[in-house]
Amino acid sequence: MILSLAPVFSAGLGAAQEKLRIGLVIEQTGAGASLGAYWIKAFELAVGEVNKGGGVLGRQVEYEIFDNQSKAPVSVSATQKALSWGAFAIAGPIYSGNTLACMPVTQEAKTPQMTGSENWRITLQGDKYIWRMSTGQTQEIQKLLNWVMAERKPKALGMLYVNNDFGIGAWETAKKLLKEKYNTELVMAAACEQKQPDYSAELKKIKESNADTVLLNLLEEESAMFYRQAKKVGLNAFLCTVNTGISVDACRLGKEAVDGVYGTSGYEYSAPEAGCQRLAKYYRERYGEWPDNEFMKGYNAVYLVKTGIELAKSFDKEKFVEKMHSVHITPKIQPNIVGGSLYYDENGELHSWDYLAKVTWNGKEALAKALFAIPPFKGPDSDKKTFVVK
Amino acid sequence: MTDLIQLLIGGLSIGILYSIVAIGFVLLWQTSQTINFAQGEFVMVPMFVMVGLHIVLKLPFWLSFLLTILASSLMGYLFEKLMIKRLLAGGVIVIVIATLGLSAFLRYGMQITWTPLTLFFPHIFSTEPIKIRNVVFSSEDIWNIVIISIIILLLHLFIKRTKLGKAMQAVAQSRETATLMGINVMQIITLVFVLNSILTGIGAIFVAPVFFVRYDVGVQLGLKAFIAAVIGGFNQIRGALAGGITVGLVETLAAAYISTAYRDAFTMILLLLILLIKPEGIAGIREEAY
Repeated sequence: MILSLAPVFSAGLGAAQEKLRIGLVIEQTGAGASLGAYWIKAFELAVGEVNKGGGVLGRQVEYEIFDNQSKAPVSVSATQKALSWGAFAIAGPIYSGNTLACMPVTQEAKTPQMTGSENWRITLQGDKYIWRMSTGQTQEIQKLLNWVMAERKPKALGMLYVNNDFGIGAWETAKKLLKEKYNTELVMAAACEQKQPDYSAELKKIKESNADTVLLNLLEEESAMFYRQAKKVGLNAFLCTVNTGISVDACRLGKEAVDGVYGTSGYEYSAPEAGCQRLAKYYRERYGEWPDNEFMKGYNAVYLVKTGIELAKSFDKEKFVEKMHSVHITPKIQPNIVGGSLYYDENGELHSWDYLAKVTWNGKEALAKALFAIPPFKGPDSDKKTFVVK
Repeated sequence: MTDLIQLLIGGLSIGILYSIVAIGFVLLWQTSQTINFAQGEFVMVPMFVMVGLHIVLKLPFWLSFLLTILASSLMGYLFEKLMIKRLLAGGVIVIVIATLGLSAFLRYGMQITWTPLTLFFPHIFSTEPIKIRNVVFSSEDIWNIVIISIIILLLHLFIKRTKLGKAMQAVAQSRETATLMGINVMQIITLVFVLNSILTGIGAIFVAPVFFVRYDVGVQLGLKAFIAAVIGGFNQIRGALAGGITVGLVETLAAAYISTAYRDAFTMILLLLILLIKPEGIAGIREEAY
């Protein structure tokens, strides 16, 4: 009698101990380490919160970091390791090249992947297992260009972009948008290398093209280096950038050189959105500085996995996929979600509010302040208007 | 013309930074037949020490600088005593492998013990633009070029004109003969390693405002400096200067006039050409094979 009950008991114990595993395939070392650090901190917070609140459908969340060394081939092997470990979902990577490399692995394994990358190609590969944690570069650049063309009316627009999938994708997007919507083109465009310390050549190209406005799609450090050198030579052009150029790291490193730069960002710490404000306050109190939007993205990755499972009411991955497409997620559905109103379309592309911000140097630190809130192009909020942030 | 002058200033100011790191390769090769592939990290570590002293502990700049040089010298001394001295007999390959390991150890050690984030380092000189007849530059660029050039020149004079410098040259040419001449070869080698670390410590404060302070900055710097040393001439101090300036100018001018996307490729092409045509380097001396 006792022996025959053993399997029942052991099955019950096994179920209680079973955990929801999330593999964090992230840039823990290498060129992207400073960004990966935000995701690691975000996971520590989010997973702690979720587990304290009872986990996901009764299961505690467990995560493991799989360092991709900021390299595409290592992203592939790191993802494979995470899948072997038993990950229900993969979070990361951040660099677009790394995501493009490892997406086929999660697709083949039919495993959800919450990526931090912004390259426009990612959600157009026919991969139903990928979700973006921030608006893609097509939307971001379009929103930025719409504002620049309407408000600044540039006579000559130039562009600098980082020479990787993130930057080249942005350049392709900008060229296409300028031609199709504004019937114009860039007067100059130059690719910059990662960690490049000198921008003399790029500044020369800007000067000889007479560009009065320069669109930047560089990484955080590179943006700061460019601003510093641009200030050294007294560059007059109006500078506008995607989120990396007005990020916390770009402002921290660029300091007074970032003063006056405008940019778009989804998870701006100054955004008038309760989730952003809550996380910004937490991070400021815990680490003494403002969080980068990578922190918000990493945080949301955990809660989106939770949301998908709760909407599916099971740990079935195909039901997760079904529920997480063409879905509108708000704090009513997932109280801790950051961003307020997130709409995921049929491709896993995120449509949410972005903010146009301006960086101001106050003598001690360079701070980005949200000026306008720009609605998404798709989803329930798409019919709303841009409004001034008070 | 003004654009060209501006590009030359930009290329020179970056190239001079490569030079001061490249000197270490030349010095160590000359005196001990050692190639230190942790040379970039020997610049990175003093950068972090400077940040710790000047920015975190808020010590005055001059005191932070002196303490950083002391710490850097100690690092060089320990490197020679604990690693090089024990491996010297094993030959160049052994030392190359060991220093590659040391490079990774220092890099990831700094990342784990301090931070993976990039840290800010203040400009030492003013960065306000100076305009002379439409050429715009900053005094930081000019000061970097002038001061580092003077340092390299003083080092050159030290090696050529002083007794100690001549002893270093003697050790570089033949350790056995130097020993017979009464020179304490091991002491000279130790001195050279300490001198290298002093130079990398000094280099760190010029490099930090431009490259920022991060745990993996040594990889990029070390590689560029190594290429500069090969291009310039691995067996002459002036080779490090010539090589660094050449690399800086080639990068900048190629990016400006050909393509920004392939700036590093042009440096590699130049490296290949030099190895094929003038393997001793632009300012190096051809050595006869025995």
